[in-house]
Amino acid sequence: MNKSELQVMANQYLDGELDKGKETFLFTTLAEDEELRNYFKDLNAIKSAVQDTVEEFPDYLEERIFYSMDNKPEQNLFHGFFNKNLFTILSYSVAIILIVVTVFFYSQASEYKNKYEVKVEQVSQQNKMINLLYNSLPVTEVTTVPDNQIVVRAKM
Amino acid sequence: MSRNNSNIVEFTLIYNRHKKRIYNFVLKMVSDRMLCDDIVQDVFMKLYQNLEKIRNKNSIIYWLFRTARNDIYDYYRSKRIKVDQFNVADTEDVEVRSSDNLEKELEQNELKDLIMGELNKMDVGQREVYMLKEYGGLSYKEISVVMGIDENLVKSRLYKTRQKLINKFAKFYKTGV
Repeated sequence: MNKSELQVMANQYLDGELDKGKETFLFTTLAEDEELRNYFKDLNAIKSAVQDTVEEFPDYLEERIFYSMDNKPEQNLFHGFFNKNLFTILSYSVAIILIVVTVFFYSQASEYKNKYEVKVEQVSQQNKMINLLYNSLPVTEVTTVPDNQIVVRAKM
Repeated sequence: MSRNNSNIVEFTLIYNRHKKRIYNFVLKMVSDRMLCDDIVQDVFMKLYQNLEKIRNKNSIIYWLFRTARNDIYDYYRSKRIKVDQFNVADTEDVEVRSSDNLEKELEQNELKDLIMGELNKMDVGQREVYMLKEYGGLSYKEISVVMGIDENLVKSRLYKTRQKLINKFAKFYKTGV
């Protein structure tokens, strides 16, 4: 095993990711290899130095979080929802209004069409009736009294 | 117990379990305390609002770190700051105590500053893996899931980051800076 592989193994051990089976091998190598031992010491020193920079969670931030939880969630949800979806909501509203208006005008137009057809039919019927009545009129004669000849005779 | 109360209890349990890890991860990633506070607050508010939607409670750790990462990246994207440049060191006063170990303490503080400075110079992907490991306390597999990268890449990035730190660390002791 070369140097970098051993170093990777040391890293894994420090991270708690090294297989238990390989630990013995690592310890044996550490006991024999001074360079690896120094590397391991450096790794440890850096890790502990980094761990020293870990900070406690600040109380003021905790208060801030719980305060905002108590007061804002519903408002945030409401505003957040409308802020994020304002354009979508507007688009859907306009689309729905347009659909309703279109359906309304379509139904109106159909109604007018039906009424128009009925009227046309009625006019047509009346026209036929007028023609029928006109044709059924008796022949008209205009005569004079008492013994003159016929003056006007309708030609039908 | 009402549904709302049970939510609060569940939230509090999760919050107490993960708050320190999330806080430290975000703080070290952004190096800006105020920004970190805002991001951490936002992460936990989102958790509270979405708790019912998260069906697999075992995946909450992923959800939390992913949300924190997204918030960090979103912030810098919105500010049009290149991701690689996002660390501006938060200058903190070194606490000096009149103790016998003053010299050692200063040395330790210098070492921490040196490590943080070195980390800040690194590529964000490399640094992020290291922060998730050291401050987030995640396993290789968890880091690979959170970052959406291969587990071997996680190992390799961690190894490289530590190599760089060790080189710097050795130099620190040899030169006694």
